[in-house]
Amino acid sequence: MKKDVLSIFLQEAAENLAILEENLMEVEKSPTDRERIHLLFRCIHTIKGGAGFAGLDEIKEIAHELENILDKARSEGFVASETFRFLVSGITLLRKMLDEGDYEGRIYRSDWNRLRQQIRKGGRICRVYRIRLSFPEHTFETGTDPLFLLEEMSEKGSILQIEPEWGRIPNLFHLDPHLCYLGWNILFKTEMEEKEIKEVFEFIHEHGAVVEIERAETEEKDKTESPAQAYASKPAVQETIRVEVVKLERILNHVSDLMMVQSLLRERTLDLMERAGRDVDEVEDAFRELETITRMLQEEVMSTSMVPIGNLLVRLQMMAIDLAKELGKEVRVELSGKDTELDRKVIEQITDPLMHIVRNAIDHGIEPMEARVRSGKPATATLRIRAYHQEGHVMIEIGDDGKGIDPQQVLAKAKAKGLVDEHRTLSLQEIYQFLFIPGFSTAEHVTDISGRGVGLDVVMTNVRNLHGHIEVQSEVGVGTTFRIKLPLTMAIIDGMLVRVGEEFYVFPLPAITEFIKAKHYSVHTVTGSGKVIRVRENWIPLAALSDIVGVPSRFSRPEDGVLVVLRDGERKLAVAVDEIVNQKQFVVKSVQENLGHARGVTGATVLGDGSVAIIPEISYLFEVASARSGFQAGDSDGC
Amino acid sequence: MVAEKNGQYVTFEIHGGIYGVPIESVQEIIRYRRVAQIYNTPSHVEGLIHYRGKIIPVFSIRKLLRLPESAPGKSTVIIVLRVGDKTVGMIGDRVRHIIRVAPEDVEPVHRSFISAILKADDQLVMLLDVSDKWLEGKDRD
Amino acid sequence: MTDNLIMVVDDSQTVRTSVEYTLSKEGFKVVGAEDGEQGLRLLEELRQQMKRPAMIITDVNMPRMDGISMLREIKKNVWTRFIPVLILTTESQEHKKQEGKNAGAAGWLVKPFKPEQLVYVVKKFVKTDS
Repeated sequence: MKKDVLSIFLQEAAENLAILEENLMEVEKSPTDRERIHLLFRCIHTIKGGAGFAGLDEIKEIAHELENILDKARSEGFVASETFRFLVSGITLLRKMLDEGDYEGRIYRSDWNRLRQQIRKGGRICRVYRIRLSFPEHTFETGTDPLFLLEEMSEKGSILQIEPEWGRIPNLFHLDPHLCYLGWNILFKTEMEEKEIKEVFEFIHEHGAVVEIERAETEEKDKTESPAQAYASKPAVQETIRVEVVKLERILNHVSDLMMVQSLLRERTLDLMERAGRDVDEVEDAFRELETITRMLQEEVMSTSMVPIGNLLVRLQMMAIDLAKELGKEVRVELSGKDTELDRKVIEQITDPLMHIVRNAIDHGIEPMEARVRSGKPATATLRIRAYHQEGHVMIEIGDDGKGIDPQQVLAKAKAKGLVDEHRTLSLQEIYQFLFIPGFSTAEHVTDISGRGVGLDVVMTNVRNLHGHIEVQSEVGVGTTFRIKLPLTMAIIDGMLVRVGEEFYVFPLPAITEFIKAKHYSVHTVTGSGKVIRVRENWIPLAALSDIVGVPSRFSRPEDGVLVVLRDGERKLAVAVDEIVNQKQFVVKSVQENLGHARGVTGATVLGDGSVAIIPEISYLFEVASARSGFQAGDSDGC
Repeated sequence: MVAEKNGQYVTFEIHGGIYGVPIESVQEIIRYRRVAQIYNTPSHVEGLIHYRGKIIPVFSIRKLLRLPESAPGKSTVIIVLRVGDKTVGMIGDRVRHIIRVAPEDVEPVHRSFISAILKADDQLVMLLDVSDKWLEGKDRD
Repeated sequence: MTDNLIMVVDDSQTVRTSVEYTLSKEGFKVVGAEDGEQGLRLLEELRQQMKRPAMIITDVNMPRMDGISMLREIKKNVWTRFIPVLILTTESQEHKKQEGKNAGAAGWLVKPFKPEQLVYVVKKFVKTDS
């Protein structure tokens, strides 16, 4: 029984956390949005209650503190920046605890204690006041020094702006040094209430000092919001149904099998009919319709497991802000493409790699404030996280305006580690590849924050497992951008089925640039390096798929077969196959689920007749081809 | 996995020898079909097949035990096993019957991949040690 | 100004001792007098040593010379007129506070007061190193 309560709570908490995260970021932009503050309060209140039911006292306690903060904000109608930061830290902490199963706070106890102390110490709302002070002429006679009072003020808040009242000061001739002509207009940020501020001046006030205090609007944010805007940014509430993920997966599986059986049925039926000499047109039409409907069904079912990336982006944003605060850096996070959808599974797998890249950017990429100011950069760094669709893929970009990656430094380190020959010159992309080697780090010291056992190599592995790519773009002194390309879903790809000997392989369509018959182009053999083929202006390395996968081909020379020109980032490779069978959508099934790790294989698919076709990892093909030939597949201007 | 109590084993022939696997781990026995070759796997992995919506590897005991190779015939089967959370297949030349094994008849051995030998009806049956390590081609120790 | 020197004038030794105790914890050196006359004399003594208290805390009701009279004398003397003077009154003596204010007292505190209150007011007028 208890286990059920726990899993229900976890699910509910995850949903509420997601809503909290989204709306917290919106509240930062509009801190007086009462409705949103209410929503935040309700969410944390629900989590608190649920935690109580599930017996998770630690979680309940944390939620309770956050609830208090929100309650105050609710009655004030205002979320101060300090409150906002507490909420970010608190919610990030809750998220970590729940995601990692640390329900009793064993791992995160100290983090929570620290945060709680901060909240207890702070915890009051910061306001901004406009204060007018004017000291009477006999102020000095009373032994009062106005400066002491201003100092007292600045101990209890921050003087944002101060301007003297010049009007009272007479010209030098008439100035009596025993008299006080001083007065100021002050913009003052403090947690104090108005009457507490007045107390600072209690004595001199009775002596006739003018102390006028009024609340100023928070000067940083633009408060005006048209009704249309207000409507548009209303917290999102959707009609939903809760479905167990496992159920969805089973449905997805059934639909994929349905697609397969349908295509098998079609082939067998058409085959039979042809052999019986019957006209296939009508039946073909029917099958086509069946295929259309099945495909629509498949797309709809797949879209149920498609989830907008927004929540992940917001979590990245929160983590960035929290981490920057810890490191004493100022960062501004720009998000775009929150509505971009991807497969839930892909999101699960890409979360950690993206977190690591963001951690890296804040920890190593972005310089400390003084260094930034010294080099003419704004003290506040910018982190840009973008998600968008492109060519049937999801692109996720994480860019910073930090110090960039120095290719010379990377190259030097690679040479020092013996990873590359002293006198080799490499392209920029090749140099960046070293960053993804386990244990390779150009940071001067590995900090605990980003060195927690997740390296860029793990990021690369994760991305590869998802059939994706990573690209790095960087300029020293300007910044670094990581660009990750992921398939929309892991389940289905557009591909080209090819045959080598008795075996079948599927190449994902995005990796194919063209296919050609080799005999129409000139092929050269470069001694000791292998073959290249000249396609229009470029020389592209040529390899036989049969050589790479170890399967006999009916052609003895690669150039006798059909060539499929593959692309991996900037590099190209012409792969010889026996035959191109067809091009269609293939259901991707996991190979490593039952086999364990399979190097160079991203998955497999089942063909109409029940046989299996391997989907090779494109970069693996490049690797093997260049290893065998000694070529760097990419030197497209020949050697 | 040594026989406990009265275990039941499915027995099958490979290259004239008789082998057995615990009945609990047998999911199904299917007719042999062509496997898809896959690179970067141990040599005793024959290839991949499609089985009930999943892609599963098929192992060749012949290769594992370094017995001479032979082409599949009419009676060749693939024994589908459940090992831990993985589903795998194993090639057998011919399937035989299910035997019941009493612990006293069983003699544990330390031969690679074979957990015990027993005598049943005048014949030696080698009980295969079906575990993850075996799948990787590693010895039991 | 001798920055950390404070003079307390009160006929009650209890008051003088407790003020001394409280303020010396804050890093001040405290000297005392029993009434207004003694207070003025003490000021003169200090002047001869080129010392001057950063603040004077004085009771209002004292024999021989009361606090407000002392205050008026202090204001006449060019050496002492800008020293902030804090007067201690009792609750029933609101008019004394007014009188003190008009005479140029820097601030006022009602007896009995808590040590924190005293420190708070003192810090309004005296620089501390904290």
